[in-house]
Amino acid sequence: MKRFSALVILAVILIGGCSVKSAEEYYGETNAETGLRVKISINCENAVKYLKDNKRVNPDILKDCEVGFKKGETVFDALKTACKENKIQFEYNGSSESVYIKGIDYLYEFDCGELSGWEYSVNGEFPSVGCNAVRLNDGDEIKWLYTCDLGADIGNVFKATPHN
Amino acid sequence: MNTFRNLHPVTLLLYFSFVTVFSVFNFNPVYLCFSLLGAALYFASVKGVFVMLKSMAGYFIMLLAVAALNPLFSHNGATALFFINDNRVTLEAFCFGAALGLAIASALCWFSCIGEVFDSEKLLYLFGRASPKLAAVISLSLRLVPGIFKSFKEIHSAQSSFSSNQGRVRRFLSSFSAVITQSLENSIITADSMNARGFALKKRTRFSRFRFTAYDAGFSAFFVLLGTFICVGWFSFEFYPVISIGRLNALNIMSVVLFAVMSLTPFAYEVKEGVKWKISLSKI
Repeated sequence: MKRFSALVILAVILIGGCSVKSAEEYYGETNAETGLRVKISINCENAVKYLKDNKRVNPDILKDCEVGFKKGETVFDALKTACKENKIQFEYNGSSESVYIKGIDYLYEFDCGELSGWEYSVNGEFPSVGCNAVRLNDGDEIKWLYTCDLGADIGNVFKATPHN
Repeated sequence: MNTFRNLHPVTLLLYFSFVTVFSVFNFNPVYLCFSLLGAALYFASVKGVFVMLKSMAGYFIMLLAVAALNPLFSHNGATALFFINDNRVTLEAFCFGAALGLAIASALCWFSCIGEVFDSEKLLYLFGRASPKLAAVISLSLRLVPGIFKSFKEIHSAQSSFSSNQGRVRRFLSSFSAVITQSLENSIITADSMNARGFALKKRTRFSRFRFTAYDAGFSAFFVLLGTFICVGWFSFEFYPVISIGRLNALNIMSVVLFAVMSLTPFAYEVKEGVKWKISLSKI
């Protein structure tokens, strides 16, 4: 009996910690207008070049889209809003501490070799932290870029920092 | 009565490695359904329908569990059913989970058939020449676990009947320690016994009843031919982002038909031999 009630409590905590929404509900949500806006684009030019198949021909998954945001929101929130408004599939891993984007528009990490995946830049800079750690400022320009070479093909060469 | 398991071990090894490889490295539900069907029917003809249905019930529960869990870990797919914390839960992930469950179920089912077909004599025959040590290890370890369980059961029932005032855990522990002691003793006896039978000798001959006849050769050739044509016409089944089969041509359909023939071969063999047996019974 003790074990059973512990299981029930665990299940309640697990379900209570998740927000479950139907597809219509999810895509029907709109952000409150705050006047703050960022530009966001999602580009997979490198994957198109790498894959060379007829299924993925358009490098621009999202081209120069403007989304609104609330003060304190992050790059992750902007991506969520943009994907919600344009009904683009995406998948992330992680929690409030660090979020990692595994795939956008059915294009996943490792789909184009073992050095491939999604990276992002804010105003041309590539922050080396999770996308939910970077706060948005009005007028920021966010680019989500697909790399096939650990960032070297999108202007973000990976340099290993030696440990002291 | 002649049965499928009486074929030559090499032929059987060839057959079972084909079907298990096709079931394990494959998420195409069209092939997997035939694979599971063939394995289940053969298992039923060996162990009886009731045993088969019982294990099928277990596989079905596992299949449902895998199908239900996969969408929680994979969010790929175009058909969003609902959203959990901004990650979509998709129909495609559910279907992929079901196919995965089907693959596991058919592989398990083939492996239980293998367990019925390959006894230690066949294993020793197959692997004994290449590596006598490996064959010895395989047959020893196959015997080890059931042996330990058996001796544990005996010791535990004896312990339970003469010391009822001990707690359950204490009784279990003392039986356990007795089993460990006994198996240590057994290992020394086994080593002595192996030495006495000339395990370490360089020149040793072995007798086995198996003879590779033209019949076995015919079956082997049949399996190799089937395997080749199945591979030639193999078609892929895409789950992500939408479930789709490419345009099918005659080769693909032939591949599926041949795969069905291959998976149903053991069952058909048993049925044929059963009918032959019935007919040849004396009617006096």
